[in-house]
Amino acid sequence: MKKIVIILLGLFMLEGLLAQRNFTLHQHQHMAQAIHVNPAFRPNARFYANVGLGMHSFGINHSGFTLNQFLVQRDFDDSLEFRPADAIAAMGRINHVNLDFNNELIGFGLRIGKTYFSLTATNRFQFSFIYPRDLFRFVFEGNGGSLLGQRADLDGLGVKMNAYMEYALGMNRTFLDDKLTVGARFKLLSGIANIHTARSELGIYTDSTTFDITIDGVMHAYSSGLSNYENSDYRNLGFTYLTRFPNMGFGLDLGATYQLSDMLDFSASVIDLGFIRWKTDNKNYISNNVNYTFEGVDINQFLADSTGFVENFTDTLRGIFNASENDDAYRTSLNTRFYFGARFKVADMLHLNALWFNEFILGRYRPGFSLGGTIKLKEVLSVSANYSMYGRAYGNIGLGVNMRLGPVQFFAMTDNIIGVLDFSGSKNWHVNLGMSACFGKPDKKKKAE
Amino acid sequence: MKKRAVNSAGILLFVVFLLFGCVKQNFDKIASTAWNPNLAVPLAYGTFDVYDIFANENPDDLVVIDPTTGAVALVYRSDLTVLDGEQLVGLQQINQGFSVSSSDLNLSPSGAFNGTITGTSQETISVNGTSGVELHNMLTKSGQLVITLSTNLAHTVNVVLTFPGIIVGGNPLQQTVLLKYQGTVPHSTTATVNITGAIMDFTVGNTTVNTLQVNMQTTLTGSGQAIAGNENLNVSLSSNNVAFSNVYGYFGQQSVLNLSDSILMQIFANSEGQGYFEFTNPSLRLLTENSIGLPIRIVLSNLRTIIVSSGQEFQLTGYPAVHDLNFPAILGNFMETLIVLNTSNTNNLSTVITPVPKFLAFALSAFTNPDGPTATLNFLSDTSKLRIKSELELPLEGFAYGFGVRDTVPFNLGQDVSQIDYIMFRLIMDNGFPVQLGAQLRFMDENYNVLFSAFDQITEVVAAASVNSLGVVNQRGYKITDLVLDDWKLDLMPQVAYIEIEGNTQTKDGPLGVIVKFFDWYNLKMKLSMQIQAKIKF
Repeated sequence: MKKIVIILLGLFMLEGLLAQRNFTLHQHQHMAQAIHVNPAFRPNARFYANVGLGMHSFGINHSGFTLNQFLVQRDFDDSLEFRPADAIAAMGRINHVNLDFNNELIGFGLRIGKTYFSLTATNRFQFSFIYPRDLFRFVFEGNGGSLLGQRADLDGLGVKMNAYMEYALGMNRTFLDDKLTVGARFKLLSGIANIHTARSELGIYTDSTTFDITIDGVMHAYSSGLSNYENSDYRNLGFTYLTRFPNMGFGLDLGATYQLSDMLDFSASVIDLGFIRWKTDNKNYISNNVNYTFEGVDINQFLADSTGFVENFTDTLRGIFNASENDDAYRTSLNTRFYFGARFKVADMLHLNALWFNEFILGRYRPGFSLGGTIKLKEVLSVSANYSMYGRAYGNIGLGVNMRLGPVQFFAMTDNIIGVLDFSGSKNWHVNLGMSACFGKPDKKKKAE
Repeated sequence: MKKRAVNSAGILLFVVFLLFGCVKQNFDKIASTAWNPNLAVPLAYGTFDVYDIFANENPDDLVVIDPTTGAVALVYRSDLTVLDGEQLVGLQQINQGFSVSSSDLNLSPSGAFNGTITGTSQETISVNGTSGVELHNMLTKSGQLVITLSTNLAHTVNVVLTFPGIIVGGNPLQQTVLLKYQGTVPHSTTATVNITGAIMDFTVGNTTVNTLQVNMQTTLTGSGQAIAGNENLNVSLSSNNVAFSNVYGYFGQQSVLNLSDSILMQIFANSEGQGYFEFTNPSLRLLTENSIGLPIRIVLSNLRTIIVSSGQEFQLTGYPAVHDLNFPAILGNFMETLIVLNTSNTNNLSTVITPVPKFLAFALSAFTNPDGPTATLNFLSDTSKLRIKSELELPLEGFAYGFGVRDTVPFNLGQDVSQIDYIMFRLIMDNGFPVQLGAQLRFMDENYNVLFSAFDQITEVVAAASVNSLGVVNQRGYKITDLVLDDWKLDLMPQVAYIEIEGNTQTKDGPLGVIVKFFDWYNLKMKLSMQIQAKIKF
């Protein structure tokens, strides 16, 4: 039982990858993969190629609480005990568990003069489970504790999952004597599967005197392509969707950098503007507007018909909680993110970075902020570190290493090394690994970086 | 500068690993812990009106509503008896014989005789009823008349029998019987006549009763044998299975009923002999429905209430004992008679109910034609009946107090409650009746030792509604009662083998004699909920 609880909680604790904040990657502007956070970024190499290993980013983020806030050492010995009340106190009204996978399967980049072209094929998977704090209160405290006489506010309880292939053609170009770089990536998207709760309102109110339980709410849930995952060959889905576009979408990344002086430059980008229209293998559920109060067994009804009572009661509940099903096409927006960065050159080999991150998940704004530094040793090694805040987690330490050994480039980075070292004390866990081939010397002007 | 940067990066990495590199969570040190959710759920609810409360156990119990005022009365009914009219008139079957002499046959001695001789004769037949019943006329629904002839005449005799008092198909019944000589004497023959549907007149032209007349015409046809002159013809008449559809006459002075019965007052069934209950206007009604066409008198006696548990009886006095019932003037009709005993025509009807008896008992006898024969004939049909029903009506107006019930029921928890910290049952009673109810539960082991009680003492669980000066409810009573079974009580639950339930009740300010009235708009709203604090260890 303990192990099950720990595993379940562990899943909740993990955080990170999520809608790819990639604070650390943002500091490595000279990497080819940096176009994923700003299409105006360009690598030092004139040509870059990746087949299969280019970038694999994985992250989990849980905004609610850490394992340490739930499993606490007792004061009088070193044993651990569960303290759900502490965990609940650490939560916000709405909490997220986010998973994000980015697999750049194919990537090419080529710089010709002032223009840099890129072409990537990326497998994207994003999952968000949004739960209200009262869900935990309801589970751990029951409805007879602090929720008695209150509405357990489960509004917003929902899921959002996007799985799709992204084919991006990018280009950026420098202007104003290379002080300004403007870039864009145009994306053709092939939706694989989607779930999202477009509308989720749920409340459970327990009357403090009668204990009558009133359930109110409405749920609009949409899904597409889930039967793909019921097939045994789901591992091949990515390849299947390389060529098929059963659910087509479009996306756009825009970015710019501006070098104000030798010491200071700024960057801004908007990533994943766009949508996917889901029209294949859809199953949508629209529930009734529910407002039902359970007052217990109606004795009069029971006495009148004790044999048919259960059936009648079940029929009543079915009627109240009925949901209509359809396969209508629908459209979902991408998780759009905004980056605003500033970089200050302390020395040729040392830059300090500041980054303001913004994203929207199911219509909810989630900001992040990062401060960091990057050290670059010639063209061989660059190391970065940062401190970031995101999702009510204020102690994220990011680290990154990028090595270029001849034509081969390796990188490994995380937005929160604490998530690796102190699993139970973290709300974010993130790793970003990759290897690619880079050819061509960097421009002299950029050498200073 | 480069060196400084490298050092800075190295220091940063070192500090990070120093701070977090050794942080490990030892999950083996998780202490056994408990999950303590608190669940509050409604269990049941209901609204009970006067019908649910006062008439739910016995379909004979009726709640009667005054359509004008809405006032409620309890009526306990009982079908006392049904008297079948057929019992009053028992028919004796006809069985009568007579001899027709030679002279009635117009015979005189002679030698060999080959001619014919005709003669006539007339006889009467008695048809008797039981218990002095005088039959005047009757319509049969079944029956046969058996005619047997025998003679020692060595000749063939043809006999035509005519019954003027038996009309079949609009004509007097006539039957011809041939007594054919076949060489030996005596010789005989039998004929059977169906008299179903016959109208029988036993008055012989309004001259008598219980009598039928038969006319015979005989024709002798000579066979060549001699006639001695002393021969005769024997006639035997009998009846089989004669039954009537209706009958008229005088059916005598018969004692037709002699019964004792009682009415169960369900309202007192469980609290017999305890407390005080004063109804302001009770009444006992006897309702008769009579389709027997004759005077019947009933006599009531020994009316009393009985407390069975103590054997106490309380005699009702001053009541009218003799009652003549209405009866129909036309066959097929019925007449009703209502006999009412109330506080106006008895000395102490309220008083004998006040001690909360279980039964109202009485004796009843009935007689027919108490004043002898009357100008009009008695009549009845085979479906005529006298039904007698009783109704004890208790208008719910008065006051009561001191009622108590106590019962012990077996109990076996059969559940593991080790993971429950406490259970609270909450009873919410929103009462529109001017009646208060207190209760106590005692949880006992197999030796009936009390392990614990639900409350410190009998506790009010239903608060009485308030009444105005007219006894009408003007404010509902509302009461929340929490029964908490905390951990030590739950620990004892497996030992509980019996639960003793004790309750008491009274009307609003009953001991003070405050009159309350019950109306059909009163109701009781009940709500039962439960709160459980669990302690699920893992």
